[in-house]
Amino acid sequence: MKTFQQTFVRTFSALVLVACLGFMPSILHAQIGTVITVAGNVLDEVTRNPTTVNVVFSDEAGNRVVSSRSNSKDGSYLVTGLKPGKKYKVRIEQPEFFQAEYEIQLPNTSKYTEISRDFLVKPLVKGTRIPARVSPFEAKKSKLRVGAGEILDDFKRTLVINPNVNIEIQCYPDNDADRADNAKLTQDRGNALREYFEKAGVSGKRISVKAAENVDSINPPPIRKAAKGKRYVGSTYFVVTKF
Amino acid sequence: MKLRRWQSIVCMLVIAQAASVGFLSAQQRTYEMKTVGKHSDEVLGVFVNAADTKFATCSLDETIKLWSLPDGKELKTLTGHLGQVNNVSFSTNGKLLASASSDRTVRIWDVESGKQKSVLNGHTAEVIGVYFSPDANSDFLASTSFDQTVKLWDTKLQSEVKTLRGHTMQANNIAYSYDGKYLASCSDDKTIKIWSTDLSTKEPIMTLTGHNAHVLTALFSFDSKYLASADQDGVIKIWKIPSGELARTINAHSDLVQDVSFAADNQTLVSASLDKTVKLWNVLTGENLMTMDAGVEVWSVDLTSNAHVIVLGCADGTVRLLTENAKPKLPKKGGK
Repeated sequence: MKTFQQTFVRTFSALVLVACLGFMPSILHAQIGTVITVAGNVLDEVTRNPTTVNVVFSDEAGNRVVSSRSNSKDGSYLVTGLKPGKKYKVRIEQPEFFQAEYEIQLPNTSKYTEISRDFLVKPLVKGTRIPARVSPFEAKKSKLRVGAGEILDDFKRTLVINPNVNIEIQCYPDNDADRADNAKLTQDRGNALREYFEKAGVSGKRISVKAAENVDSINPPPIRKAAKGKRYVGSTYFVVTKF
Repeated sequence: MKLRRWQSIVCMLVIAQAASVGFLSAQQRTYEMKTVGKHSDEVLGVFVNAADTKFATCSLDETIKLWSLPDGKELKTLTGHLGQVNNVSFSTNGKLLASASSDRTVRIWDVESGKQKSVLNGHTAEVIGVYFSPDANSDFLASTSFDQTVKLWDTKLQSEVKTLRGHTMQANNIAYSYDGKYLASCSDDKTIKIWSTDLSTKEPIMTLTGHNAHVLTALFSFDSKYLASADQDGVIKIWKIPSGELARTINAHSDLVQDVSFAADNQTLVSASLDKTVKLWNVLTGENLMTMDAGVEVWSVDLTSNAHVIVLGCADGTVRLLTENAKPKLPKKGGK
């Protein structure tokens, strides 16, 4: 016959066990700490093909934290173990591409979280033409449009952290109306871009400008007229000349 | 042409009277074109004030110019925008002018002094349309942008009071109804959205569909019973308000129509196109009242209340006035 004491001990032990099992995940969680995973794809900025590069995450002090190599099939990468609320520097490393550096501010969360971040990398091949996806100019204008900084910021940073790379800026006109006017317009546009990069600390000696008298044959003006504010603006390319 | 309501009614009566004796019959409307001045680049917007005494033009050259009517004398050049100026609008009392620019700002100017009173920041892309509310003090201002939104601004506080989201592509132009109840915005999504001016309502009252191309402009008639819209294919549609029923489709031009304007009779509509023509229409019948070959692409158009003077903003930078010729004597009726 079980004594009252034995019953009490067994019941108490069972309760303690249940309580421990109940709290186990949070105890374990507290020991491991909340982590964030960053995943995405790395693509060639010119061809949009997936690329294989090293994606290196460093802390704000520059200490390497974690890295991943993107998959050649789809450019996918994944890093985990990152701390919530922290800011990380992401460096893209691969000799065939411009070195690129980005900052990621992770959300401050108490739950495991996955965030997505894709990267475009610029091929470091002599003669490669890297297009400005959005024109930094308005139609018929040679001064940088308001907000052009947002368009050019990525390329400006690329030039700053790749000091051995020289480029040629190629600007094309908006129409074929007057060849002399077009040459002046595109030269002025190129000069405006060079000046912008110089102000960011890039030596003007690294940048040459090529004007054009005729519209870009690869991206010509549309046959149909556009409404105001939506006018065709000639292409702008950054061409690698030396690295 | 944008007028106060009582002026509209007076003008309407005058025109109705004239029409009754045949002065405004369609075939008799002929105009003479005169270039009165020039911007240094394309003229993108034109707006005649309610009193028919001034008009404003805006341009790719980033300036706004004020001109006198009916002589077309250049009065002032307003500078300050950092990008092309896409549209302008006078306040109801004519004392203020608002401008919309690709520098992403709306600016308000004092017409008398020509000085900039305020810069309204908030849009995240080019601002294309701007229109003052029709109340006496023009307490509000509406704007449209390529950021797909319509924004309402308090002109006294100089602050944004409401953002209307609904368009799925770039929003092109905006207009208040003259009874102050509605706003109409048009977009590359091929729709026109009608919004309540009530500050608490953020959903569109209705969406007008039927255009097969980007809708570039929309404007209410002065009695707020019709809305005219024009698109990239050169098609003009007339809608009944408030029902939103399509009243008429006019295959008006062979190229895009960026601007239309009503005369005070609420029946006469002027349209201008990149096909280089300017046309007058009777919106009730769809009849073409006048066609003029301007010989140059025309971005913008407005007219005086009686449609006696039509102002054109042209792609060559010129500002042109079409002035109606003196009326020929009416043929005598038979038997007299």
